Amino acid sequence: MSAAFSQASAAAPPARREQPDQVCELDIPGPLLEGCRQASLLLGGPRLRSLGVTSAIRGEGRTGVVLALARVLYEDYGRRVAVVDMDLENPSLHRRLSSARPYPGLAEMARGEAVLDEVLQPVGDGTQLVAAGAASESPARVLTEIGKRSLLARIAAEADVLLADLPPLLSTSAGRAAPAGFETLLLVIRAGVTPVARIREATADLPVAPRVLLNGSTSSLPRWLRALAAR
Amino acid sequence: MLRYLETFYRHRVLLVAPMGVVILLSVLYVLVQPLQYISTAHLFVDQPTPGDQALGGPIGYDNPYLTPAENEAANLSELLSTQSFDAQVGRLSTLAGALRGQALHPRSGLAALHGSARALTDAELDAQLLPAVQQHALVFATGPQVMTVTFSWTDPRIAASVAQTIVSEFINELLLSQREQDKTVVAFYQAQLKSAGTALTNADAALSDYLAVHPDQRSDSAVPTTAQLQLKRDDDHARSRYDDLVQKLNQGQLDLAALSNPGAGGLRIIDNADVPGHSTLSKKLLFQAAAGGLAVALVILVGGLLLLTAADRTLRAPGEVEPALGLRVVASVPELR
Repeated sequence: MSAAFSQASAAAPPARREQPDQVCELDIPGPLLEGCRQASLLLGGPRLRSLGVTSAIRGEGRTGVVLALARVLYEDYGRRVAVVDMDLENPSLHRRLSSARPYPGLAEMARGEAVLDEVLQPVGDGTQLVAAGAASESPARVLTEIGKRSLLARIAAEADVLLADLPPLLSTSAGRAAPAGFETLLLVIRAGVTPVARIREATADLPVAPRVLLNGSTSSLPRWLRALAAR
Repeated sequence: MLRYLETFYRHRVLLVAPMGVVILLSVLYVLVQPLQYISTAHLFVDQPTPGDQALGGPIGYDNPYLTPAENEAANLSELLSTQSFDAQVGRLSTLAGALRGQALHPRSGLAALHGSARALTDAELDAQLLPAVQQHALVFATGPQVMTVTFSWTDPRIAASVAQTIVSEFINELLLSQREQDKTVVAFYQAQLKSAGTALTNADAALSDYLAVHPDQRSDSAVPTTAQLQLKRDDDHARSRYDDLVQKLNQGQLDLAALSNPGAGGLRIIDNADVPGHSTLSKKLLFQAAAGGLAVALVILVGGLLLLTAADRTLRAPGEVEPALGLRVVASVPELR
């Protein structure tokens, strides 16, 4: 590891004792895991190579879905997963795991300040994390550099499947540029929160039609009434 | 349908609370209204007999599709819609006094606030009597020959007084025209009788004068002359006419006198208006208020439900995603934060 990042690591905040170290230790609710299992099947299952998880606006639950998918892909299919945090403006993946560092990450790789081995962080069986890093310039420019240097392809080569936590399509400057290059996109929508018009605005002109994972689709009706109305 | 149900369950307190408030307010409104007392009178309506129309029996009874009671109830309802009848009823009963008293000592309203109470003029009193009588009186047939008249007011004695006055004034209206007609007939026949009496006297005098000049014709065996026969015929004719007029005059006077008896004109009071002993916080009114409140509450509920559902531009269920966005759903999960 370079001297600059040795200092950075030394200055990094202390590990949060209450957060798990590894993905397999995360307390992911059963229904979410089941939902992600179903989603992974429909998204290709063992044949999935890369998946970008995005949303129209912030707060839809992208990061939770990414971590749940990572666990499912390893536990169900035995696949090695590389999880990449591409939300350069508000990175959050590393905060879910106490062992994860915020940098060096994708931004440092884009600037040529770090190499792949330095940014890949093992966070569980078969799972590696690439943090977003500290972007010193506009996220859009960083993404352009990522594309030029084919960084994602290099990261994907280190695992069986690449899972990216993309920035929201509307809330960030780099939102629309981030999904380029992903063969499969998953759009997380929070039920009852995000207006349809905003979602339409976000998904217009996407390179690939995303699949949808609906977050929070619980019914307030009693079960018997739901069954009666469904007839 | 499911979406509306979901909206209702999600906002059930917001939607149901106004309903409860509206129903409660409507019931409270009825409960705070002043108590009403209802006084009732019953009338018996005679079946018309042949010739009744000529004598001026139950007015206008020539409709075979209505019972006598229905016919008279319709007539009274028409009268109650006129200001003159209502004003007369009000003035003859204690209602006019009550309204004058209210004007001088108002309990509520702007007059009470400003202290600007004053005595009512006659025109103002009549204008108040019309709605007061019209809106609180009810007339209907309770049988083929029995009609009921009710009047409701906040004072039981006034209710009874007005109900009784309505009934008596109705009978008076019916008899009025008949009485006038009979008086005219009597006056006519009296005049006719006077001239007939004069003619009879003249005929008697002519015959007596002839017999005085021809005393031999007084004998029973005498053969009457042509002149004597003519005079005799004229006298008989005058006497016959006189007797006929006397008979008709007697009949006319008899008819006029008969109008003063109870039951004249085909109407009789069976039950006089009673002073009600207890108020009728009308269960019917309470029920109507509750039903009205419920209807308004339902309108609020349905309107609110439609508004909330239309305003909800988000996606709630997996089935809504593809129609709205044209995108496939791969999974739906409970809320994840």
